[in-house]
Formats: sequence, structure tokens, C-alpha cells
Amino acid sequence: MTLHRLSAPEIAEQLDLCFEVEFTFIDNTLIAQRIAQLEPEVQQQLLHTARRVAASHIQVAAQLCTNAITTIFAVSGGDHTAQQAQLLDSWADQVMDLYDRFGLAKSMQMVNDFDHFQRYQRQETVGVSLKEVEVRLLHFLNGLSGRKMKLAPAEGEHWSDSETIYLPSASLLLPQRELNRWLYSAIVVYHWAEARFSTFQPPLFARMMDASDHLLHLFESVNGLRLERLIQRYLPGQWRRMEQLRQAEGGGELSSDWTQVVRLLEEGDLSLQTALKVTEAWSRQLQPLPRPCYQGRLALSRVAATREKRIGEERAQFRVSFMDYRRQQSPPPAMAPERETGDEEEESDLQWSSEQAIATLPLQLRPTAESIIQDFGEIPPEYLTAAGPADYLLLQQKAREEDPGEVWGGTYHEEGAFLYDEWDHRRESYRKGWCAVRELEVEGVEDPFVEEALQRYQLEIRHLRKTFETFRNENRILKRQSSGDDLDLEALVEAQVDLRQGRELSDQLFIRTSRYERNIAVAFVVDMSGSTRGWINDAEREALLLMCEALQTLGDRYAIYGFSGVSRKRCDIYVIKRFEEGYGEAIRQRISGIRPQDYTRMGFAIRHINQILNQTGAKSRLMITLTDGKPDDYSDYHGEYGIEDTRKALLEARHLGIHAYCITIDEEAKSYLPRLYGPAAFTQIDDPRQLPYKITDIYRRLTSR
Amino acid sequence: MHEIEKHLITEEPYYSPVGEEIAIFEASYRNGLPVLLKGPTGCGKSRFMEYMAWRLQRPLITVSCHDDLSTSDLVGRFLIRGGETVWIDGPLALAVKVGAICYLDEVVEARKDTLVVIHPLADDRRLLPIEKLGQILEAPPEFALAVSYNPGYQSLLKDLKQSTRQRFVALEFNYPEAMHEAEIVVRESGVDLPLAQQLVSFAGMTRNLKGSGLDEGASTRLLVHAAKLIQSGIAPTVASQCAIAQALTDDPEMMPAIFELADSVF
Ligand SMILES: Nc1ncnc2c1ncn2[C@@H]1O[C@H](COP(=O)(O)OP(=O)(O)OP(=O)(O)O)[C@@H](O)[C@H]1O
Ligand SMILES: [Mg+2]
Repeated sequence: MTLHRLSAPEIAEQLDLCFEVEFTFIDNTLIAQRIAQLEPEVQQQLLHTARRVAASHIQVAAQLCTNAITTIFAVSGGDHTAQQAQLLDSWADQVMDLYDRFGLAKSMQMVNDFDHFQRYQRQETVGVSLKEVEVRLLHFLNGLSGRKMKLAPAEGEHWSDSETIYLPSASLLLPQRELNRWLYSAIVVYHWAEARFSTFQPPLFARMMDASDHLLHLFESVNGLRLERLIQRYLPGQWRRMEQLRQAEGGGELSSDWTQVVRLLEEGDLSLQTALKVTEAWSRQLQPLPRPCYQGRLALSRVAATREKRIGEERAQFRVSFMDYRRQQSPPPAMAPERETGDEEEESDLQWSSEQAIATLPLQLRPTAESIIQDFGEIPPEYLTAAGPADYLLLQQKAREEDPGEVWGGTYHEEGAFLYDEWDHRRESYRKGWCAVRELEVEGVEDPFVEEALQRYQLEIRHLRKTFETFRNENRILKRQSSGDDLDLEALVEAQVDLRQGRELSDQLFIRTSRYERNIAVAFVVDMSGSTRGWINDAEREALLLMCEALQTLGDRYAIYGFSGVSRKRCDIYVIKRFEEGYGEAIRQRISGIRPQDYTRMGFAIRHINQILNQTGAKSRLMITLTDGKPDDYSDYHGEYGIEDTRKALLEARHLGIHAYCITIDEEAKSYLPRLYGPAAFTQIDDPRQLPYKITDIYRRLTSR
Repeated sequence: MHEIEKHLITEEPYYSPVGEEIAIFEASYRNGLPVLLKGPTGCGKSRFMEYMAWRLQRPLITVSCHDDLSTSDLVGRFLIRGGETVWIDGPLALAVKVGAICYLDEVVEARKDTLVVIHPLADDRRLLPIEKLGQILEAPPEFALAVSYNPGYQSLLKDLKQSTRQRFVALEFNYPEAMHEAEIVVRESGVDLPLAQQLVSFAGMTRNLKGSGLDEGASTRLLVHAAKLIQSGIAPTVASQCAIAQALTDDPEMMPAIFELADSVF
């Protein structure tokens, strides 16, 4: 089918709609005229992109279209169309990504600077983007020893605050893809080494905090050489790659002065002290070396701030746990803080020696101890004194900060939350780490609800127990086995007959029971949005109670989670019963305590439960959601967006081999339901009072063989 | 009775103690107390049992537990041979009769109702009832029961019942300290010490990943495997990839990360 070329008014009409001109007053006439001159395929492409980007921000979309015409589509050329289309697509992707992460200003910058984008574009050929490698890099970093560090995107150059390594969103300095990939790892290793090999210890701050730029930069060079030697010692393979990177950059040999510096460093056992001493002694003769691509600037003041906060917290934590440990353990363990001066027999070995000090500590104290040694080179003596009230206070305060209930109080951060992607159907891509999900506990409530419900459904419960009984761990009896737990009488009689008639006696005379074990894990996922208030909430709670009672007989593993949320920054999963918890009074009270909360954002809940179900390792994994209908969150999860994201999450479940089943309690049959639940099976219940009966029935059908 | 001879260990197995496990096991043995060995896979539990059996000069009968293991599999059953029914002792009954050491490997894999038979054997009665024969065997002082279990697999289904676990003296096993582990690798494979240290430091990295992407880090066993490959001429990075990384995960993001750690260490 050939497309026909759209006229300027036709285009203007579409753009008007897309850019909501009634409200935005954007004038599309000029753009439309220009687009009208383009090839039909290009026209379609542009309009499609306009719609995609407009879903994020209308102004950005309008500007992008205008700029695309003067840059990408400036030369209209038959052969180039496909290339141009691709270019536009990735430009749009970049712009939207920036918009998500840094907001309007940054994304507009990208829209208005095509050259800047083209530099980004090198990524397609030789560059490597952080997105491609970040999971792998994080695993890699986690594998390295010492304090656990994190990764985050940097706005410009890479740097580290001694806890987080900030990385550029793309690596494209070097002429080959492979090298650019190595560069990412080298950056990570370099910053890890910086923290691991005690750069950030007290003498550094004492001597460098107020130093001149020249001195600081000189120290960076000296310290860089020191770290490279240490990396050579502990990660020789990595060091060889770093050498190759330096060569690819055109890095040269060291001058004789610098070779001398390296010798001094090695003589001083590559310690920070030596590096500082050498820097100061040589500050007149030497100029800083050009920084190799993997070496970052020292962000001294930011490191100092992070460090100060960490030191306080870790001191308190260490003191408190060490006290606990001592109380349990008398006599106290021989603590051997490192670094007695003088015993210089073999070249003292940083890693082994601090490891030995740590090895004398109980397991739970070791990570903190490692981190403290990285900060001080030892466990300072005052850490071994009794914890005071201030320590407990500080820990309490920290715990409060981390309390998921307090997200909105104080400074908001995403720490401690699970981050899940969300599907944006207009953009046809995932928004990365979009939803901050936290698990909260449901408070148990002691009220007559449970008793009344159990009373009311007494008969059903008894009946359910019976029906469920029949298909719990069915035992299949295998007859005529050559070994088994009992004799197979029938076979025995036949054998006797055979024997009398002179035939050979069969040895297959036993019965063996083979147990069929139901290896099922089921998660019930309950809508706790505000709209369930009243009838539906009651029905949900009763249904859950009934289900639990019935499942007691069956012995399947099950968990119950609720969900609700306000916007993507606060997606709450309410824990009602975890898989490992047994059913009992506490769980009954929590079921009773299920209260309607806020809005219905559904995708994150399904994704979170997917993860949980997957960890059970059960052969059959089942997710049964109970909702009152449409996914809906305030502002950004309305209508199609929510439906499409939920649908996508259900698809993900299916890919993971999870059977999803949705039960909707709603009076009217909604037209979108088949689309929404397409990837899953679903049923609709119009009377909430039916739910308890329906759910048990459905469960029986779903899990019988 | 010569059947049992093959369970006797005649040559001293190489076992390098990590703590006081040898003394504790001996004391338990002398007092007729059963022992529970806890620890991650491949950290020397089976080797330790071989060593103790040799040291105490008792036959060692090992049963690997699985979820189809029935009481009859442990105690014994009737079979028909040439027109006659004959009783065949299971490994547990055999061990009780001859006063051997019975080692149930990975007990949690066995179903809970199967495990109940060891209850009277594992407390001060030291009795093994054989229901089908209407007999009750009394364990001689030489008999010992040991079971192993890996608490790392946090499968909720697979936890030992309190009534089972509270009958045992528990010995906790873990990977030895770096230097010690390197020596074990040297001794088992014949590689030189610096290389063994590199392997151990690589193992340490995978152990750091436990809980953040890996279920388990590399065990001493895997290190020995890799070392043996290296000793036969395979390059260290390749050996680490096949013998260690591939054995740990199938995750497409984790695998290259571990490969890269290996590339970094050697
Ligand atoms: N302390 C040790 N002394 C000697 N060898 C050891 C020691 N620890 C581990 N090994 C080596 O590790 C290998 C694996 O140990 P073993 O088979 O005993 O593990 P396991 O703890 O029984 O593991 P699983 O739970 O998987 O059965 C041994 O073959 C031996 O080479
Ligand atoms: Mg074993």
C-alpha cells in the first residue's frame, strides 16, 4: 500500500490535536507547511514521533518536530529515509529519557542542540550506554570486596563520593565498542580502589582540604599511580586492560621524574601517607599528569560530607552491636586493630592483614568493620567502648528515616524502595525504575469481624474442607511392583496359581504408593484502593478468610498482599501474609485490618508479586488478583495508560511462567476487560457477596489436576 | 558380613580442620549423641565424615536423601527371590546392626514422615523399630548417626522440624579462611600457592555476590575443580568460567559480570 502525501491543512489538523492547541496555543501552520513537502513515510514518522513525545511533554514535542525538519530532514533524500527515521526515533528516545530523569530544562537542551545529540549518537556505533551495562556493572562492583557501593548516573563526568559511583550515561571516548565497555569497568574499578585502598582517610582531609589547585591536582596524579599499582597487585587482569585503555587514548611513557615517584610510592608500600608526602615534596618540580580516561576528579568536599554522616552512623552501629556481642560472649574476643608500627617483615599486605583483623569478629559485625577500616585504617579504640545514649538515639533516628511510612516526611529519597519499570504505551517503551515500591505491614485489628465471618460461613468452611481434602497430595497406588511397602494380594494369588501350574513365579508382587505432591505457590493480590470502601472491602476480607481456612486443609503455600498507591513515588504493597508465615490469629487479625487506602496503580503490584512468586521455586505459581475494576491513579495512571501498563505486567507474569487469574468485582461488564486481562484469565462478579463462594470455587478448578 | 568391609575407609582421607570439629565429633561419638552438620554446599562436610570414619575405624554408610525416599528405603524391605520372600536390610538397619556410622546427606530433602524413623534412634533410646519384622534393633555403642543440611537454601518447605533438629549436636561448617582455603586447593589439585590464592580471591568475589544476584558463592569444591583443570593446562580464566561461573548461574547479566571478575583477578 502506498501512502498518500498529506497536505498542510491535514497535517495541521493532526498536530493541533496532538499538541492540544486549544490550551497551548501552539501555532502549527509553519511546521505543517514544511512537513507537507516531505515524503509520505517521513510525514507519518514525524507525526508518530510527535504523538509519542507529546505524551511526555507537549512543548518538547513541538520543538523537536520543528528542529527535526531543519536538521535531520533538511536534505530530503529517497535513500536516506530509513536512516533519517531511525535517527529521529533515537533522538526522541534520548529526549524523553532526559525528561524523565532530569526534567524539562535538560530535555529541551537536547532538543535544541542537534550536535550534542549527534555526539550521543556515536553510541550507536562505537559507544556503550550506561543502560546497556549497568546491571552487569553493578554485579561486578558487588563482587569486589569491601564496603558495598552503589552506581548512579552522573550529569557530566564520572566521580564518586566514596559510597556511590556516578557514571556518565554513555561511554564513547574510545574508538572501539569493546574498549568503551572496558572503560566503564575500569572507571568502576578505579573508584572502588580509591575507597578500598584507603584514599579517604583523615590525613587526606587534613592536608588537602585547603590545598591549592596545583597541589590537589598533583596529588590526584600521584594517588592515581598509587592506585594503579595496587590494582596491578590485586586485579592484574583488570590492570592490563587499563593499560590498553591508556594506550588507546595515546597515553605515553612516564618521565624519569615520575618513574622516580612510582619508585618512592612502592618503597612506602603504596600507602596514602607516602602519596601525600611525595606530593608535597615534589610539588615544585612536577606538573600534574594528564588524567587517564578512567580516573575521576577528587570531589573532596562531597566525600567529606558523605564520610562524616557515615562515620557517625557506623560508630553508633558498631558500638551497639559490639556491646551486644560482648554481652553474649564472655570472655571478650581478642580485638587486634591493625597497624602496629614497625613490624616490617614481609611487605605488609593491605588486604590480607585487615581481613585477619576482621576475621576475629562475628559475621554480622564484619561489613561495618570493613567499612570503618576503609575510613580509618583501623577500628579506632573509642569504637570499642560502651555505647552511650547518643548512639542509640542516632540509630533510632536513622531507622525512622528509613521507615517506609515516613517517605513523605523529611527529605524524600528512593532508598530502600524496590524500583520497577512501568510501561508507557504512548512511548512504546518502559520508563526505567519508574515506580518506587515499598512493603508495609498491615496492622492487625482485633474486632468481631473475624468471629462473625467464621460463624456465618461455618457450613461453607466445613464443606470446603471436605472437597479440598479429596485432592490434597493424592496418593496413587502402583500395583505389581517388584518392591514396595505392601504385598499386592491380587498379584500374589495369581502367582500362587502360576506356581502350582509350574510356571515361573513373578517377582512383581508389591504395592507401592507414589505420592503426588502438590507443588503450588499462590499469591492473592488484593486491591486496597479507596474505591473498595464498603461492600467490596468486606467481601474481600471474607473471601480471604474463607480461602485461608480452606487452604489450611490443602497445605498449598500461599501469600496475601494488598496494594494501593499515590503516584509513582509511593507505590505501597501491604503485607498481609508472607509465604513463610503460618496461618493463625495474627493473620486473621491482619485480614480484618485490611482498609481501603488510596488509588489503584496495578502494574507495580503485579511486577512485585511476580518477583516474590518466582523466588518460591514452586512448580506451579499462581497469582490471583482481586480488584474492583479499572486501574486508576491520580494524575498519571488514568485510562488507557493504566490499562496498558497492567496488561504489560500481566504479560510479564506469563513470560515468567506464572499463571495469572483476575477476579473483578463490578456491576457492569466493562468493554476494556478482555483487553486488560487478555494475557490472563479472568472472571467478573457483579455481586460482592458472591466473592467468597466464587473464589474458592475458582481456586479448586485452577489447581485440580 | 564382608559386605560391610567395602564401607571401611582404609586410607587416611585428607581433611584439614577449620575449628574444633574433630574433638567435638569425637566427644559426641563417645557419648552416643547424633551430629548435625550445617553448612553450604562443597565446604567439606562429606570429606569430614570420611575422615572421622577413618579416624574412628568404623564403616561409613552414606545415604543421599531425596523426596521419594521412603521409610522402607532406609530400614529395609521384603523382596522375592526364587520363589521365596527374603528380607533385605536398608542402609540404616545395616549400620545399626554392624555398628557403623550412618550419614544422611541433605536430610531436608527427605519427607518429614520418612525422617520420623530416626527419632527413636537419635535420642537416648537409640532404637530402630523395624515394623515389618516386628523387631526393634538396639544400636550398639559403635553406631553413630550424622546428618547434613544446608541452611542456605531458604526454601520454606525444606526446613527441619524442631523435633528433629533438637536431637542433634550441631557443627557449623563454613568456607575456610582465605589462606587456609588456598592451602586446601594446593593440596587437592597440585597448583602452586599464588595461583590458588588468586582462585580463592575470585571465590571471595562470588561470595560477595551471594544475596545480590547469586544464591550461593563458589564452594571450595568448585575451586578444586577449577584448579584441577588449570593443572591440566587450561587457562585460568577459562577454567574459572567453566568450572565456577557457569556452575553458579545462568543469568545473562550475572554471567558476564562474573566472567569479568575472573578476567580481573588473573
Ligand atoms: N577442610 C577441608 N579439608 C580438605 N578438603 C576440603 C576441605 N573443605 C573442602 N574440601 C574440598 O572440597 C571438596 C568438597 O567437599 P565435600 O564434598 O565434603 O562438600 P560437602 O560439604 O559435603 O558438600 P555438599 O553439601 O554439596 O555435599 C572436597 O572434595 C575437598 O576437595
Ligand atoms: Mg556432601
